[in-house]
Amino acid sequence: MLALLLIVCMAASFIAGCKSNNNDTAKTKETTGGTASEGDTASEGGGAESVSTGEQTTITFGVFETDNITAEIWQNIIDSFEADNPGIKVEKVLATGDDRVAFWKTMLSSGSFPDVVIEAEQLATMEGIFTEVPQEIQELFDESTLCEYNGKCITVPSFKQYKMQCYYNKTMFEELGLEEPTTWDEFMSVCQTIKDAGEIPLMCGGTGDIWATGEPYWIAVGDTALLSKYPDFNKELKEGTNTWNNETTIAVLTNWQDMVNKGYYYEGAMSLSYSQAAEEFKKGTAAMMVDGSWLAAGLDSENNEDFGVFVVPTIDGSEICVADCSYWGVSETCENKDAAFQFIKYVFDENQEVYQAYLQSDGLYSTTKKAVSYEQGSVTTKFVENITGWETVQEIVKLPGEYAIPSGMQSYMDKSFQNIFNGADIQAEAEGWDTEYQRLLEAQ
Amino acid sequence: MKKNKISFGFVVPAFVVYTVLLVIPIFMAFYFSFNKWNGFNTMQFLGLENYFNLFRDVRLGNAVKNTVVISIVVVIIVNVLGLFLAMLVNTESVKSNIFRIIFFVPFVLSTVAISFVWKSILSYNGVLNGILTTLGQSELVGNWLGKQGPAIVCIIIVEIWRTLGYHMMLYLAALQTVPQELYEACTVDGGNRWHKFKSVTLPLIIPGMSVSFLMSIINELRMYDIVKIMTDGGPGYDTETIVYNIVSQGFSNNMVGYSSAISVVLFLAIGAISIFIVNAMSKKEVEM
Repeated sequence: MLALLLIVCMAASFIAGCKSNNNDTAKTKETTGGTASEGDTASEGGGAESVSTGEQTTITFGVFETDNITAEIWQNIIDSFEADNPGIKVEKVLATGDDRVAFWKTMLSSGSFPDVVIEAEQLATMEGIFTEVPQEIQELFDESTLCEYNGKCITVPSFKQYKMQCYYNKTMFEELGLEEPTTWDEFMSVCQTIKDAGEIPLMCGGTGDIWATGEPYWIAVGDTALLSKYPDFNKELKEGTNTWNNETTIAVLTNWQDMVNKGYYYEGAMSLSYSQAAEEFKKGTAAMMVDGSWLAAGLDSENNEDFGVFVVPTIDGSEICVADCSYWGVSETCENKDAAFQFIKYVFDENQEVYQAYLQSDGLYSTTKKAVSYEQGSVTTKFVENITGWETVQEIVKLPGEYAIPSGMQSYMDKSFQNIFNGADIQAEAEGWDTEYQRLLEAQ
Repeated sequence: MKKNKISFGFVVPAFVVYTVLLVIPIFMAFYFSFNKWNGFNTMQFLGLENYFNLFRDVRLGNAVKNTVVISIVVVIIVNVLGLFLAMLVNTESVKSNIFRIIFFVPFVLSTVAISFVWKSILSYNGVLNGILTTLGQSELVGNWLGKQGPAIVCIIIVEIWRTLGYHMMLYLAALQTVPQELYEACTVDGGNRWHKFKSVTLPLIIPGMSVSFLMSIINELRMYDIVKIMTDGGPGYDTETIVYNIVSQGFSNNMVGYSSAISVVLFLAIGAISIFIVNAMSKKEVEM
């Protein structure tokens, strides 16, 4: 009899532990959420629903961390908010791994999606994930940075980030008597001079971080070339009046493959992660590295003045640069939407000191009407000066809203860049982009 | 009768866990595979369209090719080497025990951990190339994980290293069931080492061999973690496996219905291969 009783208890506990249905989990949390210990705000991949017990409300905040955007940055935001809003606790949910979108989708599938999520733009293309942003919150942001999905504003712009420029080793440039190139031909000439001197001109990442192989070059050269020629490229693509496989794409990719074939890139780049590639660049293994403004912020935080930065010259000479907005969203299933939007209002409006620290950590720019600025280091200052007065466009793959590129296309292109790096036929790869784009569009 | 009820009671927790975590998801995958579903919004019934699309998917075809290559090479090598090692350590001595432990340890370690270690060894600026350079063998320095051929070879080597000890143990267990008298009889009949192996060992370890073959095939067809960590399926799609493709389709591309269709086909393929192996091996088994 005792054995049977124990078996029933075990079975019951297994079943209880396996429940992952949204409603059931929420009910369970309703009764257990109050036991969260003081200061215990980190939960890696754990349950992530908002709970309220009496006057205490808990919201979950889904974030990722990098070398620049560290745990301290998030903790600073959370601690400040909790101190000023004693009725609301914020529990951090950290996205692990390099594919953050996939991580959030896994949380979504398991019913553990956080209440507030950063980098929400790719998830926002799926209907019903994020709730509509109240008008008073929308009004905090620069109108040009707001976007709509199916006629609704469901995300708020958290920052603007400039991408990608070419960092260079000042000492190497001085020794070889090189100047910052201003045209594509000059850029190629600089690469050849470095190569002839027995040095490696360019560094990139590889299989460790698939984006780090071709994405920096593509954004710097491909996005600018395509958007210079076809300003409404995303719209044309979706409406079927344009294709990835066009002469501009082919020219950009051919130039890149030529650079690889000429030995301008570090031979072992394909086996490196982004961090390893950046470290090798800083060690002087290669003279240049195309990267985003986060590298400038990183160099500035180290007070490293050994590196300069110039804009990768566009092929057609147009003065156009890419800047992405990133977005935060509040989950449709959040039980305490008021608390979640209060958190957003606090970060972007009520205490802009925490917003400033967040922006400064990664070389980001504010998207709020009340513009937030910070003291920039020399590399970041040069980065911004390089593009002052230039036309700014949104990265093709990251464009939010109606003409957003379907989820999965970025990953497909990143892998295609690696194929091209290793000598794949460019025409076939570009045709593959169109096939995959249509497949993803129809499937999603 | 009462004893039977109690015994049945003990099975209930395992049955519940197995059903909830395995059987129900399998049926759910079957259901999803007939639908267009992004994992969140409402499903749309597609019939067999997801299954027809499998045959037009070039990237999946490449993943199938890689998986088959990895499976064939790994299955053959771990079984041949596993049997060889098992015969070497099939003695009662301290040295044998030490070697058994050494060979088995990689299988006990976390696959994720060993993948990171091997990645740091095989990276272009990693330990292996460092040693080669230090030894003055710079011409042998290679981009092991950055080129298609070497990358898949590296994955195969790591997988063999990881699973060899497990298969050695399976064969060791099988070898220890062979009665010593049969070897003695073979000696009396004038049999040499080869005769003993061919006529005594091999026929009597067929059950163990079928288990080893089956486990290695199932493991290799489901390979994911080593590929994910060491190469992330790259460079390009060059080392993607079927399971890597399933995860990519489901979570990166929001095509849960389609990835479920691939899962179902893989499930059926593994089932068919398992039945084939069990049947083929059972015909070779001998009664003792």
